[in-house]
Amino acid sequence: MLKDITLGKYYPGNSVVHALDPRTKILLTIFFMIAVFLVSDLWLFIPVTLGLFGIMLLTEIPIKLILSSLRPMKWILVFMFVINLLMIRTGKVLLEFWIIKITTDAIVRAVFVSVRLLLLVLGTSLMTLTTTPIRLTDGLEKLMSPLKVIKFPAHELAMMMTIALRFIPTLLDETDRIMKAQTARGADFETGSLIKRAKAMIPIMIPLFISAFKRADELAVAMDSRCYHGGDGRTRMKVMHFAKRDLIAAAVLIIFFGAVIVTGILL
Amino acid sequence: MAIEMKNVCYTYMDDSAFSHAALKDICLTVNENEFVALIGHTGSGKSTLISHMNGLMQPQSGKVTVDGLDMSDKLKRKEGRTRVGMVFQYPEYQLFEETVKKDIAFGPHNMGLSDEECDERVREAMELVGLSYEKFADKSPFDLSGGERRRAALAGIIAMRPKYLVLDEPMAGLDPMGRRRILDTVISLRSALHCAVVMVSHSMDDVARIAERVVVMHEGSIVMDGAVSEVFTHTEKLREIGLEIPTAARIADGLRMRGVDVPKGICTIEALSEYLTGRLKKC
Repeated sequence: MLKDITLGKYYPGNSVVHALDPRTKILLTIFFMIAVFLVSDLWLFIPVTLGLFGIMLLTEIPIKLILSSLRPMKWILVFMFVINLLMIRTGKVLLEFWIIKITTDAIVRAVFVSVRLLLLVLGTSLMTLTTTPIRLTDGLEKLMSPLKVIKFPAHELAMMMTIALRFIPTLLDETDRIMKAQTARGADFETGSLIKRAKAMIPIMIPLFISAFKRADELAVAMDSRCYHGGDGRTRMKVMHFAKRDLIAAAVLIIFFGAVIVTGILL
Repeated sequence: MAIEMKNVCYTYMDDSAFSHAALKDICLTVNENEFVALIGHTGSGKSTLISHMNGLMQPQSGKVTVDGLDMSDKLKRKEGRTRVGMVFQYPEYQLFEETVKKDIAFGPHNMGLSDEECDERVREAMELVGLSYEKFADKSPFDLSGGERRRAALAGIIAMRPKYLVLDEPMAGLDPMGRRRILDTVISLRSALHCAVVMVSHSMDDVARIAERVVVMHEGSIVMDGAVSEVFTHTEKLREIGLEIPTAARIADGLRMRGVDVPKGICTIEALSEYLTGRLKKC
């Protein structure tokens, strides 16, 4: 029941996109997001979408699975669409009754905002689908390391993210297990008033917190006993390095999306 | 009256890249008062199978009934759940109340029993698992030792007086002393409550000693199902799917290879030593 979450999940593979350096992927994803925000014309989303689908094909991940990462977004999408549709009142009026007034501008704007959101989610989920969380945080740490000069705790932040990401599935499994155990003892989480249902969460929350604290304690001891003492002087088993393919990927993407942005500005 | 599973199939993460079939066309009947051991390699589907026995998981196809109650029906499921007591792996992690007494009463309370009845059942259950009521009832479950905590969790299920007791590796992670106590508790429970027991276990010696029937699972299917003495004669097949065989059966196998014709079906140390001393006396 809790395991059907696709958003932010890694999909193992051997494609070109998987092989790219995580830093390249992070930077290019940021670039892609900027491009999506700079595009101001609905028609320009067509080349952007095509470009994105091109990358999707390169990842060799089933398209259906990538698209399923949009599922948790559906209510936000609907909300954004409706709000834009109702709030914008300029342009030719198509429909009017009571306080509702739907105009051509509103439709264009609503579609525009929804497509933009869709592209953003798809673009970022392509990054998380093709990069293991560990590599992703490693990449982030490397990218943030210049900030260490101003005492920004890049390593600590990356380590915290790694640990948090590592334990999400574990805690979900644990929650699932405890829920099953309490259900087997006749606990009921689905019926009753809001207060009753909130109370029904106690038999889940307490064991969950206890085991989470226990795990944290054990992890701290395990790290300590392996002489972990922060990021200073720490070497890596897998050293990241940019390869030729990173350069090619960056060049292709920057030229392609750059061209789209420039076209948008010139038009 | 029995737990009946008919053509049960279940696939995890259906229609996604991570999908794998956990149960393939399972047919299994657990009769009243029976002691069934469920064995199989890690990932063979044992835990998924027992989760279907009290309707915690619903089969994607097929049917599960408990004493004729269809477990896909929401109302009947609730009734069915009180009949099938489920003790999961590491059950001590489900403890949450302030006192042992309150925690054990959680199940009976959910069944809608009165306070007096709950208290009576708590006393009985604690007695059965070997925790003294006077000593432990008002303690916090988090102050108990690992073995005591597990027995308290077990008592929480027993207090619901199930007709079928399903145990998922009840001895995992305990020291030899703790293991023996849980095992003895399970044996005495059966005679005290007259309930059927389904036990998942990796210890073949324990299985050989206390079970009557053994069900062997491999990659989501039941590959063997029969009396203990019968299943453990197929040593080759068991080894093939990566399972251990009881120590006594292994010794008997070795003796047979060296020309001592130990009869088939001996799989406990007691039976083996009885046979061998009898044989030596004859010499």
